[in-house]
Amino acid sequence: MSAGKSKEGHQGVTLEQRVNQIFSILWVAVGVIVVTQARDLEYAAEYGPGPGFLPYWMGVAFILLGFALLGQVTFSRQEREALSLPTKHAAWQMLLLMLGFFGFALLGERIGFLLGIGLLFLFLLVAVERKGWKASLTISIINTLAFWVIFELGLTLRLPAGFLDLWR
Amino acid sequence: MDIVQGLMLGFSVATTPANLLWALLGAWIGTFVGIMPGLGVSATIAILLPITFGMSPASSLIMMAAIYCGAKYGGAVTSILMNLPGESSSVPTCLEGYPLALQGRAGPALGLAAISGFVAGTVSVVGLTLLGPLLAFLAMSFGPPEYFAMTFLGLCLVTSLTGKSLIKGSLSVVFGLTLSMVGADHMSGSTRLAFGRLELLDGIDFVVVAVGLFALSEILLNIEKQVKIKLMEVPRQLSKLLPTWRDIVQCIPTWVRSTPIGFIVGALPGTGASVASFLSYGLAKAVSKTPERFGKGAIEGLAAAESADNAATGGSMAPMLTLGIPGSASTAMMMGALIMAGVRPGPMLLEKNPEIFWGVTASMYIGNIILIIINLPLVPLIVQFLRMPYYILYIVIIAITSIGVYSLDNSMFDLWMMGFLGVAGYIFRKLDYPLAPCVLAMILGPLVERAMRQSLIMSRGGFDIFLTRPIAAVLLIMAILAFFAPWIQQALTKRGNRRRSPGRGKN
Repeated sequence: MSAGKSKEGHQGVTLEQRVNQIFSILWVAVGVIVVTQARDLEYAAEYGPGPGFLPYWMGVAFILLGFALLGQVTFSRQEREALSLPTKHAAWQMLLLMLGFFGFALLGERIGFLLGIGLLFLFLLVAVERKGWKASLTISIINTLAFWVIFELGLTLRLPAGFLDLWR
Repeated sequence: MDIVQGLMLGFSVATTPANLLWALLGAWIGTFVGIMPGLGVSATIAILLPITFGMSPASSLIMMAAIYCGAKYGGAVTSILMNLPGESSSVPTCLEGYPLALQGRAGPALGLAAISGFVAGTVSVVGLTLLGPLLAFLAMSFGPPEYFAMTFLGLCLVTSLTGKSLIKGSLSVVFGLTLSMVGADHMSGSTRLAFGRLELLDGIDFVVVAVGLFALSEILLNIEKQVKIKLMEVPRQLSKLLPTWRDIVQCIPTWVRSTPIGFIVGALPGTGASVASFLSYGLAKAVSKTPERFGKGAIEGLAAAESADNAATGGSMAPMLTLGIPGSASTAMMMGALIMAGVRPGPMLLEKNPEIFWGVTASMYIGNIILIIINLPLVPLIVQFLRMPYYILYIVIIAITSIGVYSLDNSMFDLWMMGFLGVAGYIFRKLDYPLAPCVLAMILGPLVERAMRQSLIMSRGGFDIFLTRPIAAVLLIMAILAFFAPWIQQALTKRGNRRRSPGRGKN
């Protein structure tokens, strides 16, 4: 977080306040969902609380704390440090990293886990870190081979081979 | 089993070739983690959790304890050489260590930090050796109501002492407790909060949450911060790394004061090494005859911070092992690893698995010796790790954690969950939600719930059982006071300020 004080928006609401307000409402929504789920469970069993007891009160706690946070961030006059946002470049890098990761989670089983890791390496080096193709390809191949030796050969983990299973 | 017998058993466990190797590996990894900016000890333990599955519980804990201690030693290196505190507990080390490095005394500063860590770390393990069995003995008389009250106290302390906002700390705890309830209820077998997903029937694995919230979110934060490393020269000869006798004599009273502070504060849930090192540094400055030297390279300030930081390790292991209450995210993860291996830390650990308690305690003595060797003569070598580009490190971390998380259940769903929790962890950190209470709540959640339900079965549904049993009642009152402590403190400060301000006006 940067040390500067919050910048005020159009209606005197700071960015940090606005984000916290949104999140407090999200917490309330989570609470409502948890309470709804807990109501389908037995609240009290013989002599004691049932499986729905604690989830119910956790849901209630989410709602109460969500509203408390909303009140605090809306009405508190306390000066807070400003919410530091990532630079455009960093935000783009983070987005690409997560896209790469979710892409790997989506395709890993189909194309093979290790091949997926190799492609993830290549993607992160080329797209996120802007390294040259040659260097990225070399690093990716070396690392994938190292992972294959350590995890498949050394630790005998059975990772999904995807279509490469045909060659096993 | 008395302490001497216990220690003998412990050394027989810790000195097996395999365990010595795990301790050595853990010490190296820990030192590496400590010196690498942007790689926290909690995140590293989270990354390595899946790898520990194939190991015996004692071996995995020995390795994790060595990582934990090693990270404290290594943390001083970047603080002194780069003015870059890896964790908040290293900030006071920066305040004195970096000015010393600028004065050309980087070597002695590194040496003194390692010696302070060794002295305090070893003394704190003596504390663990003596107090551990005593704590376990006291906790043996605890029934479910006392156990509930104690775990509740742990959660309240962590909530109120970590983070800036009590509400956000509480939300973090509630989030962790809710995650711990997903899946089959252990008492009735009913499925809870699974939203019809087959993958959630067995619950959410703690490793997925720990890796997502800590490791992945840390990578995202480091990418945002664009971590850059600029290294200062480190002398290569051992003689240039050693502090002078005058330095050591000057630091002895500081070690005597700071070690107990570190141990006691480290044992309290939620406080941990940061509070210990700041408190100890503040005390060293307060009692100094020349406080004006502080902030400009006072060697006893460095010794105070480092000794308290390292003494907190032994202190924080004591409640985790003997009471089953971890005080920090790192010890919570160690406890999680033990639980997954089928071992329940707590008062019965010394009875049922003495080899684990004593093995880890003995390994911490050995670990401190390994660490002083790594951090004194080998420090010129280990700083070379800092030349490794961060992008290689984080990509390797993502690959290792993905394999680890996938192999938990052979489920890609866990990877998706890890990704979403990584994003959530990043947002939580940006918005100042403390993560430690969430992880602690997830570990303690099933224990809290079981203890509460068993207590209510004992009392046939009456909540008065928590008030009629003296220990439980006292612990609950302490929990409530601890929870509201920040508000009470704030109110008292405001009142004090109000009282003072009219006086000022008259003058």
